[in-house]
Amino acid sequence: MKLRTRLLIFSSIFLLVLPWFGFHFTARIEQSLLEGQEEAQSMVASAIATVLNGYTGLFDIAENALYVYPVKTLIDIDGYDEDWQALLPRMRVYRDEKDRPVFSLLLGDDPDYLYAYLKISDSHIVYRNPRYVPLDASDHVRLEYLDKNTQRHRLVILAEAQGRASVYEVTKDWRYWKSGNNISAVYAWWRETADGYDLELRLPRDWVEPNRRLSLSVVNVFGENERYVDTIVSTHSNAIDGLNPLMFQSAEISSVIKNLSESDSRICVVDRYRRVRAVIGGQKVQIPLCNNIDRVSEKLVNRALQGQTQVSRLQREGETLIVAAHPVSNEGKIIGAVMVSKNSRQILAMQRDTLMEIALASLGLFVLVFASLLFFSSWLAYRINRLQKEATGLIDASGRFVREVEFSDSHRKDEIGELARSFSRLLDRLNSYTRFLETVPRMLRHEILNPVNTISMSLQSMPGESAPKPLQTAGAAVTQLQLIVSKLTEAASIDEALSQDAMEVIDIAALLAEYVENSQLKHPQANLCYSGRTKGVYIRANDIRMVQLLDKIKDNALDFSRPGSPICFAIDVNHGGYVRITIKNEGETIVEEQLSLLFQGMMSQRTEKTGQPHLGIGLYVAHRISRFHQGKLTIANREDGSGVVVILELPLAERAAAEKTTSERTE
Amino acid sequence: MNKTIAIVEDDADQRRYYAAALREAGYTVEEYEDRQQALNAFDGQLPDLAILDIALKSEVGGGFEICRYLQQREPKLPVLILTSRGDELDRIYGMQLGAWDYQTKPVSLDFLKVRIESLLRIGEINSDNGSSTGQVQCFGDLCLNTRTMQCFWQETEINLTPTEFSILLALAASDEVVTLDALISATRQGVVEENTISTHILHIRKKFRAIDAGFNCIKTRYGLGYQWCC
Repeated sequence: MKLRTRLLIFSSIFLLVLPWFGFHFTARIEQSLLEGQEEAQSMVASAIATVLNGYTGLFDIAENALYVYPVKTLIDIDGYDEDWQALLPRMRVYRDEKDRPVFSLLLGDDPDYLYAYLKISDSHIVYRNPRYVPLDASDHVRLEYLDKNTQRHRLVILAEAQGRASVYEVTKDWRYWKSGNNISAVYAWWRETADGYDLELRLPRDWVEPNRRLSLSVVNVFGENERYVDTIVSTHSNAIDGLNPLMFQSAEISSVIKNLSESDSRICVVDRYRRVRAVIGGQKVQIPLCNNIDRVSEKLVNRALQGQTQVSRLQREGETLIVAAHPVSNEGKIIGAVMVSKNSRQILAMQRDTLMEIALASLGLFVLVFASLLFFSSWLAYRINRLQKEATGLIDASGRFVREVEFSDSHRKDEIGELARSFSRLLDRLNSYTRFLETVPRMLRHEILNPVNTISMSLQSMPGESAPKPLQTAGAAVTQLQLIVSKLTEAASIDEALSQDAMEVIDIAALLAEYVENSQLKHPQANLCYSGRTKGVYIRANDIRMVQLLDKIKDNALDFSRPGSPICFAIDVNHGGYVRITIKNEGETIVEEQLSLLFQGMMSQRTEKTGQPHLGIGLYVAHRISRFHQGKLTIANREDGSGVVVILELPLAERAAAEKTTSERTE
Repeated sequence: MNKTIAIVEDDADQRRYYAAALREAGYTVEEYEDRQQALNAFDGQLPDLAILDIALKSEVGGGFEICRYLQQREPKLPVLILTSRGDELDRIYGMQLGAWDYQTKPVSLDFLKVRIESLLRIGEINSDNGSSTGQVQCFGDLCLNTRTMQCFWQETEINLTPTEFSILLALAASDEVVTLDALISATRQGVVEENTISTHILHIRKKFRAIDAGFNCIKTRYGLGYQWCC
């Protein structure tokens, strides 16, 4: 895997973890926000409770008070209970002395009217008959209240049939009307039901202000002709002249805690009978608390009324509702409870926003980091590649320095720069050592040839036409010395010389065939043979060098073969992309251990003196030439032990290049 | 009139031998051991021919410097570089600077005398503005003047060094394959690396192809030598 890919994969994995952390972080934030909210609400509840502690009077309302529910819907006076649906469970049941339920009652108010809904059980309804003058001669409902002058008013509501009921103000004895006029300001509707009748009515709200005293009584009349009042069941225990206090949601409490309320939270105050005394705030949010006190809330209320401070989180329609409940007490006695509720929509919205921001920021960061990493890793990879290319370019195929050591990155201060510098130092040292090695033979030649020249010239200056024997010997020795130096120089500078040679596509088979033929002419006493193709095998090479290589191998073969034994050259192209040239001779074999050392130079196996210097340089030069041509030169003993085989393998030229050469030849 | 030959060579023994041999042949010889000495003397009077060693004492390329100086002063002055540095690069560099010939040590004194004689002769002819007299041998399109060492291919003159001329002459004069050994002796040098001949052949071919792209008269006989075959 490439450096860049690896870096990107790793970084991506870590980058992807970021949003996950963000998510967890926001969850934690949400949790702590909710907890903070709970605490805050609990404190608000506690504060309100403390404020309300002083207002004992507001809570100190008799248990027999009639609770007036604030009605939110329009009440249609039609004797049906649809408009009261939400409040029906709160109906209060009144019983006779035998504990039989006689009627149940709901009171409601809005700013204009006071409403009442009564469900009356009556197995036999006695309607009003004009024959009977007294108003208590039929089933009826009595309504009693105090007006603003603390004047007591008595109203009788009765009917001759189902439908709109008549309302009369009556005298103290409930029997006769005061004016005889139907009081139209009170609107009432009488409707028969399976077990009696329902009565729905309304009266102006301001009639009961500010005394707020009212009572309702259901009067059951018995008999058809002889009518008499059978039972009177009243909201007040003293059915004759008791009046129940009316309990509205408290305006005083509302005014006290108004300033503590917020639009997105609702404060609800209940008394110790769990009657809602005030509901403030919450206009902006839908919080069902205190509209319709549910069980959970009721449990909360109960607990608060037992003196416990409660905070709880309710899940409602996908929203989290936080409700704090706190008891209101007076002189150690619990007189009510405050509930503060707030939905967590805001918190959740905040959390959503934060999440979104984190997601966006993560994405942005991801893209940014990804791009930077991509750029950075590409840059690094580019620099490493460049360093590699530059380093490779310094040295040619045969390992010689072709250029000055210089890297583009060597002035950089980072690790790659350091690498380039140490690379540079290393190569510089290597280069100078190589140069030193290369110069040694040249210097040596220079130093040796000068004295040799002197000797040679002094010998030449010796007088006399036919030189005496010692002089001839000295002359031969000088020539020998020159040969040695010349061969050493050749070997030392072979790589440099090779690198300057022009390469072209040549027909190695033709060259070899001609070479063998000509060598036979040159060495008439030798026995050379050739097998294989005589043309059409193309390689990329320098022909002079190929001949030089063949010369070295041939000379070696001649030296080591028995006189007159065949030296066989063969060419074979069936070796992949290589041509294989083998030269076999018959004669001495080579010690196995020395086989691999033969190409190292200065290795010679010759035992006899041939008059030629034997430095073992020939095979070294041959090896360098074959290596320069990307070839492979091996030397081995023949399997039957009859001699030595030299194998030269050279890469074939590409087909296109070979064909081009062929067509040029034929032209 | 005796010709003056300047020898610049830091090795006293060698210098003495060259000088003795040349004086024996009837030349006036001036000996200098380094660049400074030689240049001081050349400021006054130029010799008729200069023999230069490349490395002079501590100056690795002192001979080249002198060669450049001489060629600037007198382009027609024959310069023979005689050195133990046999590198191809040195050889090419010397020729580019205007040296007439480049011989590697050791050199035979007899050969040196012959070579100097021909260089001086060429110099004379050149200064006579090319009134080429002498023995001209023609082989087809190739004409060689052995006295002036001039070479003509299809009547165009080709500028060859004396060594190249000797090789070409040896090749052209033979109908058969000329072996490398024969060519080496034609250059009249003692020990020559085989590749030196190949390099010379390469240069000769290049010079011919510069005026005749289709030139292909020098055939390589792999393993044996070369053949003039036209």
